[in-house]
Amino acid sequence: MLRPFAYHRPTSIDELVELLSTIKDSCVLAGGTDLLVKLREGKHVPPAIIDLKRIPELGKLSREGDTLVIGALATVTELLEYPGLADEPGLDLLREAAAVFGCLEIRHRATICGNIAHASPGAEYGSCMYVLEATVVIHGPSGERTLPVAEFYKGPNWNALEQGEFLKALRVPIPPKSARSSYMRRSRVKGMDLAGLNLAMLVLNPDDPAKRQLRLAMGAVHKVPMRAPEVEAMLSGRPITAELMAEAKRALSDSINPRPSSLRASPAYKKAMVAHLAESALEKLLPRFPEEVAP
Amino acid sequence: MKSNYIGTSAPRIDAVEKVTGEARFVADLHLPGMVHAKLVRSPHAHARIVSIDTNAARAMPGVLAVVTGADMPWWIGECVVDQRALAVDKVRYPWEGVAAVIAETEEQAILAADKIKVEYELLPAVIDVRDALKADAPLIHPDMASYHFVPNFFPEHGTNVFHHYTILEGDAKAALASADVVLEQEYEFPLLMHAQLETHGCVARQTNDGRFELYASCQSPFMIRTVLAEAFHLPRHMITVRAGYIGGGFGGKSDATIEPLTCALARFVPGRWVRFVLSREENLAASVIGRGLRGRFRVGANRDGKLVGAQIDLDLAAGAYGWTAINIVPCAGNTATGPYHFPTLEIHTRGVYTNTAPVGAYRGYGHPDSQFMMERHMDLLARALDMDPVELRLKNIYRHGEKNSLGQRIDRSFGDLEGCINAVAKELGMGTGPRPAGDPPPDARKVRGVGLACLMKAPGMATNAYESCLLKFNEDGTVHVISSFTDMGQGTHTGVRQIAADIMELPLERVYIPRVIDTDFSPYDWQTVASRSTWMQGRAIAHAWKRAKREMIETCAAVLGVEEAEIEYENGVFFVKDQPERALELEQVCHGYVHPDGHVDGGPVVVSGYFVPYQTYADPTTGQGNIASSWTFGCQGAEIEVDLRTGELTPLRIVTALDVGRVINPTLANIQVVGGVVFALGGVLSETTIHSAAGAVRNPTLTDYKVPTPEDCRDIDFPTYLLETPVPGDPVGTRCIAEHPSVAVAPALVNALSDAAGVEFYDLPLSAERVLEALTRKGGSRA
Repeated sequence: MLRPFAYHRPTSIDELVELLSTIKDSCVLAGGTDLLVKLREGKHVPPAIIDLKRIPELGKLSREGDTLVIGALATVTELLEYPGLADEPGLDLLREAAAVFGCLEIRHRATICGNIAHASPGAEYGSCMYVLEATVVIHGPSGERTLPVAEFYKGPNWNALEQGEFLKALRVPIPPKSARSSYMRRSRVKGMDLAGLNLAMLVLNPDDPAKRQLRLAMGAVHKVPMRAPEVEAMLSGRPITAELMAEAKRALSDSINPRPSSLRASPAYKKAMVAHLAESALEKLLPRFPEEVAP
Repeated sequence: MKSNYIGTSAPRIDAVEKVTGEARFVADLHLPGMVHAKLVRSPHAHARIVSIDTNAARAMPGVLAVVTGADMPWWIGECVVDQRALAVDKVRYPWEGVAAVIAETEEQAILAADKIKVEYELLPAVIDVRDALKADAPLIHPDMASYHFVPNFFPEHGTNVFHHYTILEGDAKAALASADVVLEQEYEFPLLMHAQLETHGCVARQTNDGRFELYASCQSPFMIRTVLAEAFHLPRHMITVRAGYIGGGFGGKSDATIEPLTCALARFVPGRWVRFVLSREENLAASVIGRGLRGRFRVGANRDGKLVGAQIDLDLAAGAYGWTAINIVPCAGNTATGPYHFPTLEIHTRGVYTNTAPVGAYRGYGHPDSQFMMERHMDLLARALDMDPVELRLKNIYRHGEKNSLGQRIDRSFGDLEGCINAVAKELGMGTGPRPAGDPPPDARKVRGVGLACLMKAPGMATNAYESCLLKFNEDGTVHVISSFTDMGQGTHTGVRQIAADIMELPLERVYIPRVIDTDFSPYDWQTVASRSTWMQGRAIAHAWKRAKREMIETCAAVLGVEEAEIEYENGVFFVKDQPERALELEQVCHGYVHPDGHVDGGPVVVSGYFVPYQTYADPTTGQGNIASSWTFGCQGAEIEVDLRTGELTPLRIVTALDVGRVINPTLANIQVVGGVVFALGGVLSETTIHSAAGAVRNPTLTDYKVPTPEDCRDIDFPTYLLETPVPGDPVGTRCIAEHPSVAVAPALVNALSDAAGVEFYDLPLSAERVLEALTRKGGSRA
């Protein structure tokens, strides 16, 4: 049951910023699929909820050259159905994440920007945006500023927004057509569930081991989504042999130190599964896996 | 008896009203002047209540009353009376109610409840039943000796044991001492939540003359009336319980839960309807929960596989109050043998207080818990004997009048268990020596395996657990069949209508089954539990029809001027023997016959009927007696696939074979089997109640209490075999089936996992994480 709060529905960005600047600790509402759960728990009752949905300037989805712009009001379903997205293998991970995101009803309401702004360590789009090296567009009283997504995340449910600011859009660089990507996760049931842990992978030049660049990020293994630079380096620029993969899997497991209090997966299981998901992703994305060095 | 409708898949009579939303549930009720109740609940599992400050709450807008346990002297329970409406002096489980607010609106009640300050002094909490049994364990009910227990229950004062049920047959100790093989193993069936779609709800008021009227989402309106009458010392006619559509029960709504509290609160605002509907979290964590059994099994066998005896100790972690669990104790105990003949037995089953929510009925009522253990034990014993597990079972099942644990002699007329085992074994390619290779898993990193387990269940009932009905004939020859069982999704209303139409030889369209029960107008029904309604209601209707027919024949005889013995009945027509032209339609006499001059013979026919099977009390020392009245036997098996990299267990096929006597409605029977299997599957794969070290419930939400989703079930095949061995002396001839498909799913899957991957589980769940851990320990993981 919700405790009472004030509700505002601004119709312009200026009005929104004015409200956010004057009402301390107010919360922004877009899809509400995270916010309403939090409100219902009653632990934190914000003085005001400010609804973004009547601000026409806050866009949905658009493409600006090699950048996909995800506006504050773009829902998961809209992303999944965005024309042309299926032709960008480097963004396959966005559609794969959408396919397991909550359930159909939640996907219709939940926004991508909200998923990032909520800063949940296991959010589907957290690890995706980390590997895509997306930029967060922040709007506030002194205009716009941008941050790399990894600097936007400060901790569990804690982001870099200051009072008066809101997350206006995500700018996602579209990888070259030759890139491939995937999003994978483990959950307790096959249907609607939060990820026990997840892994996003982007491989540039996947077919040429020498030029290959691999990025991977994991969710629900740390306070914030997490890249694995050492493992990325190990798996870039050379053939991935069975031996190298075994070494990389060990290194990946060792790179995380999850808290033991999670209800969704134990530290030991997370360590085993990040390695398994990385291997499964490579199996899927590389033409040949593992790759043995030519004699 | 004819069967025009029995055996056909008549469509569900409540489908359209439920799909369209026409069906209204308790939470939909909005009665004039209705007010709202909200509780303050304990964050602690076990704590002394030092003080409760309600002053600020009383001053909040809209507040009509603020009530604490001390304001409510009433005691609640059946068999043992050990609960209060709200905690008094101390709390015994997390989420236990400590204080209540009644306000004009739900929002006002919540905001006022936020203002209540409760000071606690923590007491050591015991969640694990082994801790509760230690000599120095904190006593959860130090005053147990002062509680009222009905005869035949055996509390151990000065401990947390509120009932110790014993079964003794011969000298098990001596038999095991001379057995060729003795296998000993401990098991645990963990605590589970019911997670009904509709949460518990009750709307109650006290009228000015002191009566209680209430609407409740409950399985058993007459049991609620009983509990209320005893708690408030009221005659039965001063209490009206109304029940209608129910969005799931699974046993969780079979006993009174929130209804005594709602009525108690209604006393503080006389004349006003008080609405109390649990939130999702409250429904999961603060209502009754289920299972929670630990067992230690010692079973002896001869080299040839013949069982010689068993010593079994079972301890039920029954939670904070015992009255909803006390009858699970004998059911778990007397079926711990499984359907196998043991010449000697020593079974001790204890109900033990612990600091969790009270354990209550949970689809299966003790049977799945203890048979999980015995069916695992049979597989392990087969291995110790180097014998096929199917062969070991077939060698020991009752079939030729062998005695069960209660001393009842079981022969094939109780059902063809051998046929059930063979059906499942054949489906899975088991029991015929080495299995044919079959299709290998499509992925080499996956393994497959099969396992099966037998099951048996009888209703756990009082000896006078009546089922009754009223046949109320209407002017046009249609008939209301009025009963007081509830249909919470089993399909009983539909099946009973088919039975009634066949018993009365009337078209289905002429039989109406009201959906709403009102204890002022509806006939007595003990409880909708124990898989009993379809089985018993058919017999009650047959009894009522006998009486109704007699009354109508009396009228026919007067009208036709012949002796009553001359009148026969067929397909809605009464006629004189051998003179079919001298006939009266049922509709001409069921509401009195009007002669051409206007005078009448007979009158509106309204008759009652009842049924109760022959049962006796158990012997207090040996536990034996006719306490189980209708057994259903069966077998379940599974084929599973295990991903060696992730530990994920995927059931491919779950086979069920039950001897149900007679199938009333094939579609509904199959749905009931699949529903029962899926219900049990949740507890095997993903459902688990997580407590913190201090005893708090960590997952009282559907976000983290994971019930199976359609995606988890849609690729599973559920082959179902319903055998129909006639029930001697029963005109309808059906056996109980409702809970049974939930009984042996767990052991079948655990046995299949052992077959597939060589890892042994003695508890649940088989989550991917736990399976991978076991695989890694064994060295078989390829992660």
